[in-house]
This record gives sequence, structure tokens and C-alpha cells, in this order.
Amino acid sequence: MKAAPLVILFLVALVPGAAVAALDPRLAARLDAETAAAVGEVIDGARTKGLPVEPLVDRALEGSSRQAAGSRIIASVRSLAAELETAREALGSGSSSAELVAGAAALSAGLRPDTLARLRLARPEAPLVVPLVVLTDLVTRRVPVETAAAAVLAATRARVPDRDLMRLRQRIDYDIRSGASPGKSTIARTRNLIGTFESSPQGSRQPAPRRGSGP
Amino acid sequence: MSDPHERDERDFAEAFRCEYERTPLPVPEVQARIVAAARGMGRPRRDILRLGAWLEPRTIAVRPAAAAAVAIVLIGAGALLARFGSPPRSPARGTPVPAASAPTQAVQFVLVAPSVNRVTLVGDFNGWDAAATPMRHGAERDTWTVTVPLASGWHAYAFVVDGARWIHDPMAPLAPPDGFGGPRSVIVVGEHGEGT
Repeated sequence: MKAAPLVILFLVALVPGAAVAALDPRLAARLDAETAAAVGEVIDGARTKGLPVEPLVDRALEGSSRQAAGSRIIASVRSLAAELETAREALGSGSSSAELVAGAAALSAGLRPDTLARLRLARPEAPLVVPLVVLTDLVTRRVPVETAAAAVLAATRARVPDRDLMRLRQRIDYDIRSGASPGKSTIARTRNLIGTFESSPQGSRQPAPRRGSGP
Repeated sequence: MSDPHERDERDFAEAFRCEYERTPLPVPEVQARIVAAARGMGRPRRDILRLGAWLEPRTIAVRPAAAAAVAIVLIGAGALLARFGSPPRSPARGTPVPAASAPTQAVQFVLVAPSVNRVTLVGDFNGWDAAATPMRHGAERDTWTVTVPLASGWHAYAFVVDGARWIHDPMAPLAPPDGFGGPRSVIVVGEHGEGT
């Protein structure tokens, strides 16, 4: 007997299980049928691509809790799925689920995929979740995208520990709340943290190290 | 003539730009190799795991009775998957349960909010259910706290004040808008963020 019939039987047997897995009961309980079905399709597609699907379920549930319209929930989940895929392309296929979610958030905040790729290259041996979270926070607080990207990239290249990166974020936040320019605060605080850069190929003048005290 | 301090800052901003540009973009293949090496994914595989070995055509001899028995077992397994194989339902309210396989860490959330009657915590760890995780207030009713076990990783959350107003955690990093028009904060738990 050939193996093909067995394979077909096996696949047929698995179909009911696969169909049920696509319809997450949490979605069915919180969304109307049409929205749940559309979100389920997006989740199926993401699962097929090997993307993490729990963040998509979470996004739909969040929309439900915020009483968003079904069309808005579907759009938001679709957008997140696309950002997760782009984040994986930028960060590499071996990236953790947390890195992909943090990367997707960074893209949603306005960061470019190439910034994520540069961060990965600057720190291939350690998780990038915190640098991505700090970067996203800075941009969300209206630090210009290029300034925020350069600051976090410089700090990451300088092997600043995650804990200090989070302190940097807190200090910039403190400055902004005190009325400082987001961009200027980011430049000044990063400079205080890492001192100066190594010589760059463009031959620009390098600022002198300066140390300051935080709030 | 410009202020020396401003000129100094312009120099530093220029150095920023150079720093950014001197990090070359990785070629995708190189990037994949870097990540694989960093994550220990580049280990040599045993022959049994070679995909090619499973794709080579071959003929398998099976007795008709045995084939029928296997088919019955497979169909039964499929039916069982359909009945019991779906993802678990949401936990009962007030019982945030992290993923069973992920390591968890107890995290205390604190919000200083005087003159409010009720604060609850919502996030991706409790299905964003505004009734699931009420926060307790201290004697002076201005500081609200709750401790929840969180799985390692990235989590978004917010506080719901008096059942209606969603606010972000003023002490935590912000998450970008998600299309629903409300603020969200982020916490990173475990090895991904050294408990930040």
C-alpha cells in the first residue's frame, strides 16, 4: 500500500482541530461574530507565517475593552500583524517573541525598519527588548525620530546596560515634563551617559566628554 | 555669532548623525547568521532532522487491516483535538494566570491617584478586562497598588480610574497609540529587561 492514502487520512483527521484552533474562544466571547471571524483570519495568516499570535489576540481584546468599533479592531490587528512581520525581517528570524512585539511597537511609533536592523547589528548577542522600548518611548514623547534612533543606537553600541538605558529614559522624561526640548534633552542626557563617540569616518569634530547629574 | 553652548550641541548632534550612519545595514543573510549564532540556533542537526530525508519518495508496505486501524485512530485523534484541543478559556476574573511554560515574576503596580474611588489594572496579562484586577488603596486612599505574576517578556498595560478613564503609568515607558485612542504603558519582565 502506498503512503499517500495514509497521509491524506492523517490530514483529514487534523482538519477539525485546526479549524477550532483558529477560533480563539476569547475572541468569540468578546467580539461580534463578523469581527471575530475577520480577526481569526488575520491570526491564521500570522500563524502560517510563524509569527507570534498572542499579541494579535491581545490587541483585539484591548479594542473590545476600549469599546472600539469592529472595523477599527480589525484594522488595528491587521496593522500589528504587518508590523510583526516587518519587525522580524528587520531583526532577524531568530528574534524572540518579546523582541518582535517591541519591534512592532517601535515601527508603529514611526521608527524605520533599518533602525531596527542597525540595533540588531549593534547588539547581536543580547536581547533588544529594552533598547526598543526606550526608543519607542522617546519617539512617543516627541523626541525627533532620528535623534532618538541615534541616541539609543549610540548607547547600545557603547554597551550601556539595560538598567541605565531605562534611567536615561526617565531623565529625558523628567526634562520634558520640566519644559525642556525633547530633542535637546535627549542629546544632552545621552552625552552625559556615554561621554563621547569614537572617531567617525566623516571626520566630524567630537564633543568633549561631559558628566552631569540626573534628577 | 552663535552661543558656544548651542554650537557645542550642534556638534554633538552631528556626531549623533555620523554615529547612526556608520552602523552599516546588515545584509539579510548575514543578519540571520548573526542572530542564529547569538541564539545558539546554528548547531549542526542530526540526520533524522534533515528535511530531505522526509521528502524522498518511498513505498511503504502496510497490511489493509493495519491501515484501517491506523485510520480509525487518526480520525479519533482528530475528533478529540476538535473537542479538547482549543486554547484554554480566559481565567476567572481576578485571577491573572500567565502562560504555564513561561517563567513568571511578581510585579507590583503602583498609582498615586488621590480623590478617586476605584482603580483597576488592565493589560495583555488579563485580557484587558477592566474588572479582573482591582487595585487596593492605602489608609490615605491616595496610593493604589496591586501585585500580579507576569510572564517574562513585553507587556502593555494601563490603569482604569473610576471605571471609565484610562490612564497610562506616569512612571513607565509609553507604548505608541494602537488605534483605539487611549494611552498605554509598557513593562519588560525577566531576562528581556532585567526586571525593568
